Amino acid sequence: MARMGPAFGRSKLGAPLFFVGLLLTIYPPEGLLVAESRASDEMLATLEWVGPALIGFILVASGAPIYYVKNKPRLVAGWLFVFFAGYSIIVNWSLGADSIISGIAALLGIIITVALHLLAVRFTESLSSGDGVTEPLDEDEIKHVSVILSSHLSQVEGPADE
Amino acid sequence: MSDFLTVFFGTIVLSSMVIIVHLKVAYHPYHNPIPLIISSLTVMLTGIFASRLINSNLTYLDSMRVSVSESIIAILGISPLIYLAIFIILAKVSVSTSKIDLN
Repeated sequence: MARMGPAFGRSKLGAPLFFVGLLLTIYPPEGLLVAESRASDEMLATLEWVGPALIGFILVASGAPIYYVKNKPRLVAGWLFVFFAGYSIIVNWSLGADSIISGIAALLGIIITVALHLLAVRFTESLSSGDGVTEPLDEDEIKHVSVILSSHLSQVEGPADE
Repeated sequence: MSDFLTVFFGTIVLSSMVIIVHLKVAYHPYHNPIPLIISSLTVMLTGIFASRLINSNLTYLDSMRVSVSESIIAILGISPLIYLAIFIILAKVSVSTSKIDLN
């Protein structure tokens, strides 16, 4: 969420908001309802595998092959975290009939809300008049784009020829 | 059935909250989020109203807190499936050897 929008005008609220949420999960406030206490306990229990899984996913994604170049130590470390998280899930997760029914209800709720949101996005965009036809690139822009493309293509062609 | 509906409407409220927070956090100068915030607020208030109808012994605030908490528990219950989906995608990416066709 913190990386949406143009680079020069991105909101900086995403990361602080994430850490506030994390802190409130680890140190829940007083005066919670019974259901909220249960949810808080579940969140704490889930953090035990979500933490390693998240670190592992990020490491694997950044170590995976990009243009045939991979970062092996990062990949191995990432998969270790991912497998540790998987082991933790297998040991602790028990899926009963109640959980399945609640899960279906939750999925339906998410799907319907997202569908309504997408309809609202479509409606909002239909209200916009748009900016008309985009102007073609001028000489300087054509030169700039050509330099970038040829530089990227020469990088791709290099390893592929080996 | 009331548990199912409590979770269902709780998830609608929670998802709408997430969308509203996302619209605020992801705001940038070329985006007009007001119609989307209004639509999400409408969906969220409808969810709160519906969950209050199911839990008529609770106040609006308490019924919202209970239904959202139950929906969080339900989502966490199926979260290992999300882990599994990401696991499969990353396993494919890790062993990917497909060549780029430059022609």
